[in-house]
Amino acid sequence: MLDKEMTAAALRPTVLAVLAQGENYGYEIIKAIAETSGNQVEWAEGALYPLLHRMERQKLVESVWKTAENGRRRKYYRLRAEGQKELVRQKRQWSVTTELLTKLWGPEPCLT
Amino acid sequence: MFDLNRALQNWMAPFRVSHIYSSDDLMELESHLLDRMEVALKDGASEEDAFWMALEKVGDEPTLRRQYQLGWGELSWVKRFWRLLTNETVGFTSPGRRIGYAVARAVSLLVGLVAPVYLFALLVFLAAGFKLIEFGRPVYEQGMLFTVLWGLQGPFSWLPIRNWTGKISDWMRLGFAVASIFVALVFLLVHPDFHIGSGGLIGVLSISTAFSIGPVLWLLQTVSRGGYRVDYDSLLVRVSDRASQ
Repeated sequence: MLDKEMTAAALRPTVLAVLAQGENYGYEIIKAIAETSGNQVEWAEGALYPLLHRMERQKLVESVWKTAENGRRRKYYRLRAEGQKELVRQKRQWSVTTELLTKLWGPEPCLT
Repeated sequence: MFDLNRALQNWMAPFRVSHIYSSDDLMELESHLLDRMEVALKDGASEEDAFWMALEKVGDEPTLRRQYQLGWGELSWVKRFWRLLTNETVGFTSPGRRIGYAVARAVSLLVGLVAPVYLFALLVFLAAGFKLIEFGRPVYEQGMLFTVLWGLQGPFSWLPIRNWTGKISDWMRLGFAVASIFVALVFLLVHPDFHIGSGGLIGVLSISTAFSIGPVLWLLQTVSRGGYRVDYDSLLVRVSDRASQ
């Protein structure tokens, strides 16, 4: 299970990556992250929305309210062009970080 | 028997008392909670269990407050004041109603800021009419009576803005204290010979400023921190009572 600080750092690029796959709403974004991480990433799910709103203010994503089949209104978010650029930037940063840590810690032993 | 609507209202109640959550925010959180519940219900959980399981995942107000407070802090002060004015947690869907509501709140705030001056002036003239104070004598020589008049006007003047927050009493106390020190300094050090009728514009401005300090300080901190509209506990009790009727 990731600790809080690690989760907080990873949340932004994670959410951008999920939205890069297509328009989505809060609960499904959480579900995608949980499934992809094997439930290793956990946080107060309501905290996702302030992040989405911040990215909206920064013009990285845009939102639109839609009515679902069950009549419930949901706010869908989709990535904007600036969001795509930010995702590329985040990928670069995480690649640098991963490379650095791999060099310092050494590669994991291969079991095969 | 578990009442989902009441449980939702109780969960939402602390969100509604703070300006840092807009009506959109609350709709989004509620929708998320219900989506979570749907999954648990499909897995065979009871409605009550599904609610509590969803609540644990989504988080309650104290858990989410910090994150939303950061978002509030990133808004411009103009945007924050607009959200306070339109009281976005009420969630008007009609732009006309929202604007009308904002105008009413702005007027009530203005009345609350200006009324103390006029009420104090009215009390001063009434006191002069009954020969309790003299226009020709310096104010500081009649300080005790002015203090009494000051205290009398306070609760009545700020009634119009009371609906902005139940916490304003703290700011009234602070405002009175700061204003009293300010007025005392002006009258004793800057204009020791000040008496009603001689102060002119400076006198009126001094008094207006002094009376406005409390509400202005409250307004500044509310815009700054997205302060709380009414006392949370009493609101929760009212919501619970209404839901059980």
